Amino acid sequence: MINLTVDGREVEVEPGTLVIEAAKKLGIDIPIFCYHPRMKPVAACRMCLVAIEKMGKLQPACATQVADGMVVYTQRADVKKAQAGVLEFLLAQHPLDCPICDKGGECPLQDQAFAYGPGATRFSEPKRHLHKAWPLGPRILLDQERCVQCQRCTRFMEEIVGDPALVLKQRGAETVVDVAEGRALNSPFAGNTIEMCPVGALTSRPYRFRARPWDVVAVSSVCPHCPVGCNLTVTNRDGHLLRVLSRENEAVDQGWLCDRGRFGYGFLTDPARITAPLVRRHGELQEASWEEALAAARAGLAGRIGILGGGRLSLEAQHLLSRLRDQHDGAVADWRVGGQHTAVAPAAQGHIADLDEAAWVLFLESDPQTETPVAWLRLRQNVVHGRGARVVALGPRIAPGLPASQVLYRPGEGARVLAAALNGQGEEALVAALATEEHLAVLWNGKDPALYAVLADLAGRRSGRTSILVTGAEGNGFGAEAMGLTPRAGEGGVDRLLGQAAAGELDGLFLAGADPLRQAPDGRLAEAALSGECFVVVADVTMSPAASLADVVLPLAAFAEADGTLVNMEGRAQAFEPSATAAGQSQADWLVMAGLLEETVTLDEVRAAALARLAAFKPAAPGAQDWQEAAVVRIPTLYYRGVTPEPHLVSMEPARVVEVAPATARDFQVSDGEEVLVADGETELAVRVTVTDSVVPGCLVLGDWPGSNRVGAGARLVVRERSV
Amino acid sequence: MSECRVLLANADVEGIERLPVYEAHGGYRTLRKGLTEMTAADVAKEVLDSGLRGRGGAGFPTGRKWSFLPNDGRPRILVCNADEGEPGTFKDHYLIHRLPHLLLEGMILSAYAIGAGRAFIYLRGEFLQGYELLEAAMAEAHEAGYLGEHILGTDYSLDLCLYRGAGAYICGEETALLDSLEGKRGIPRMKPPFPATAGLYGLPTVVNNVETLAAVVPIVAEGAQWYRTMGTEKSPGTKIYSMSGCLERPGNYEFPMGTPLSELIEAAGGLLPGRRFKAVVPGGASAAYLTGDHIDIAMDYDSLAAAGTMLGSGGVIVLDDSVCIVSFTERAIEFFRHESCGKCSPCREGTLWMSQVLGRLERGEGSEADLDLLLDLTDNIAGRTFCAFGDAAVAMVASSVRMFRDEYLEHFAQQGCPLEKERVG
Repeated sequence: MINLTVDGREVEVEPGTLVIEAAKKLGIDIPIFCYHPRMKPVAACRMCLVAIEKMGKLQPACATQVADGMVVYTQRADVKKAQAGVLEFLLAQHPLDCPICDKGGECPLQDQAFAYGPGATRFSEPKRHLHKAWPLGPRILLDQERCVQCQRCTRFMEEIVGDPALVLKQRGAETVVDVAEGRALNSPFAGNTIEMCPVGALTSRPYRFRARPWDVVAVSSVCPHCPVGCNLTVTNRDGHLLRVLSRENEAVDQGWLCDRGRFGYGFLTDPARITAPLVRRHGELQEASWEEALAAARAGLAGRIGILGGGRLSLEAQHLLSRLRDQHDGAVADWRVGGQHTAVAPAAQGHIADLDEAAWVLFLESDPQTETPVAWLRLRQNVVHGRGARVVALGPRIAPGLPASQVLYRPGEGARVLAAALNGQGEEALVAALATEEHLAVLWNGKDPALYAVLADLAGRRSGRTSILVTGAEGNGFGAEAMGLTPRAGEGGVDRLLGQAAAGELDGLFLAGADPLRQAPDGRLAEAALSGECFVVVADVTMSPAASLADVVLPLAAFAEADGTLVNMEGRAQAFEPSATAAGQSQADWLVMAGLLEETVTLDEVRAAALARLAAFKPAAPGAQDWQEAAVVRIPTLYYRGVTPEPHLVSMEPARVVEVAPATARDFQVSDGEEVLVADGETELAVRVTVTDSVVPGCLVLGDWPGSNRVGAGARLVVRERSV
Repeated sequence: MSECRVLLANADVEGIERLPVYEAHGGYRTLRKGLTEMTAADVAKEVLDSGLRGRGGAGFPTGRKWSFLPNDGRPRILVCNADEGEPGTFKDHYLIHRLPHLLLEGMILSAYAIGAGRAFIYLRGEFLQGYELLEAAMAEAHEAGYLGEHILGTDYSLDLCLYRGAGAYICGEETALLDSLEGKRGIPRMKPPFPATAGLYGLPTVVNNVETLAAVVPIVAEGAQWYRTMGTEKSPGTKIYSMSGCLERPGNYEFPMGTPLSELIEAAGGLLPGRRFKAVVPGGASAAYLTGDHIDIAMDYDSLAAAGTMLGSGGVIVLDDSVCIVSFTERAIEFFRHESCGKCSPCREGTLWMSQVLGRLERGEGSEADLDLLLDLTDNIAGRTFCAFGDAAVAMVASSVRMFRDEYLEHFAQQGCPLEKERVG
């Protein structure tokens, strides 16, 4: 350990600690602009200059490592003068348009000018004029005049994300941040740059000019969009959600958000929002009172019923939903409407923070950058800057993003490949990853049931530490599984339920925050199920295609409009609070479930019961799911969830492409870039071909866009002209 | 006193830039001596003992710089800093144009001494003719077996690469040079690590100036003791002074280190007829002014540092009474404003602000309060910037206000430049 003195007070820190962190430990605040604790220091802004004995010049505290016996002064006259000097320089050309700046009121430049700056400027020259609303991408605008060239944004994109889309152009006082030649700032992590910007240079397009910091109320929340469960601060003005910010949780998100989480609140004000209970009368969905709608739903959900969905509901609602299932004799519930097998690790349940430590990582049919972006970002720091974990990616399709050894196999072969590798056979890197004594993290998408047992076995057979995380589930899939929303022994899963509904063998179907038309692996089966005689009740936030076919529609409050608890991929229960007024007559999901149960409950009661159940939960292989991925593999997405496309996220939606191996392209006589049809029975989907070595031959890989679940085992590629 | 030509001994020989002529005048004999009669350590020791100090401006002892390379088995790299961009300095340009083979010979010897198998010349982008000359010289040297595999039949091989910069002054700073050489934006790196431990592509690297590397040839040829017979104890050897400004015969002049300024001016033909000496910038635009009080100052690193200025790269700009200090200083700060890389706030914003103020003062718009502002701005830049550029940018400004305050006041009084008015009539 190193002992040093800062402003006359002694502190003991690890060797290699930066002076600024040592001072922080003593509660001494050193002003900064360019320094960010998660990035390498650049010592560019010079705001953190401090005096250190035996060093001639003032030194940047952000880039100077401690030494034993070091004596640091942060309040000396020369330090004060340097701070005032740097601030005067930064403010000289700054437009000082604080009254119309989104950052005004929560701006480090304002705060530090107040705390450390001179009272008045001596600058009387004309200021430089640059672009004021320069679009960097679909979600972010740059005010080049306000920029102080701290390089936080450019460094974040290059160092943390590995996507150097932002660069500095020109030099000297003409230096500006801009998008690199021919690029756009459209990374799924781009939004973090807005929050890191220490001035009002980078602003959010949806939030621009919507409020001042003193107009808004900040509420703690949790992101519902994926199983990472990033912590959020949600700000609202007069009950309207205006903005989502990060709320750093070292164990979960390290202060980062993906753009789905940061900008994905447009569905709250979707024109397709369901604002009142609806009941089908004379063939038409019409507004009804809650009492009427609940009564109609209860009446309709009688006899042989199925309950689908729940992975997006709060833990409290899931708990009540499972009780609803238990109340009905013979009722079957399954949250896994999207074809997921499990949301819970079969064994060796991992933690997100394990991704910092792992020496080896398996991407087991998983695309973590897409499924769990912030967990992937954390892993990337390990691979690129940390201990340098080696990645082995295996499955029918290898996701891009990190350097990895690749093992391609056909859908359904994963268990065989993994079991063989456990016995020392197969691709060298995979065998090594399993055999190593070092820490192995497995990111599994949780789809293929056959892998469940192999993974349970693997964790027991390895001598080294194993951490398994399931990446493919919905935001609260873990909670749904813990609350027992899976088929019990002898019961069928989603596809059997849909099949029964289609065959008229089901009396009632309850879609709880789910749309099988969009989500089910077999969209055509879902369509048959919903157009049959079965009574359909839908509880959802927006008027999904399924909801429009329902007999009763119950409007749910969205995540930011209600209380609840989400359980993330590591089993961490995190509560969120309402921060916006619920739309119309919509109600918290757990209140709606209580209404269906005809019970009067309080949040505290339900939460206590649900948490107790979660604590007692022991993972077990979920019940059967007949569905198996075969000829068509669908790439998951977080960016096509709403009914109405969200304008700021449209650019993130999956492209309408089909990825195929070169051999497959030859078989179908199609070539890279060609416009073709994916045909299966009567379905024809127009797509563009991408030929890639990252897909196993014989497989068609489609993006998860509406309709892509309408092709299956019989899918083939047809050149458009030929089909005419 | 006449010149003492060591590096420039053959500079005037017709065709010396071509290999046969260079060889006819003893060229590459020292390389043969070094590679066949001396070990690498012998060569390095000779350079260390000679006391040679880096001629790029900082004056750091070359032998010591070489000794910082870690013995960890990683490949080593020698980089020649030929990005001569200091206003007032044009000695490297001259050496490259007249004696490209001397530079190559010095580089090969130095690379041999430090055990580098790869070397780079980072050439200032504007030196197009120099680029062509060096390319031709390198081809000749390759052909003759002085470069490439098994040089002169020995086990030593050197792969030399010539690279043109893109015209940024900051790339003369060695870490910015390395970033630029790697194809990145040329801005100074954080130190430590220093290039000796993590330089080009993270490999142990030595960066030396053209004149420094050229001086290795006579040092190895004649020995450290001989080299020390010239110059001063702390600044041994000769120095090429680039004499410019208001002189009869501006140009490059090689003299022993520590030669009095007055002798250099005399060698350059003295002042123009009828003119009086006003000031000198002794080390390129990065150096503070000296006035007539220092006309006999010894032109070496330590004497100039003691006088509050610096020898730098040896660009001596002599100014007579026809030169307006305000205008001259404004031109200098305009250069620094244009060349600031923009990385750190004081330099980026400070050079712009100073150039704005000085532009105004030169036009006679301002007051005495602006002089205090200027001085305070220089105080807020000096020692506060990321690299030495900031110190360089303020030296002339600060010294001009301190030494020539009256000239500034005269601008306010006459609401413009008095000398400009005199010229225009």
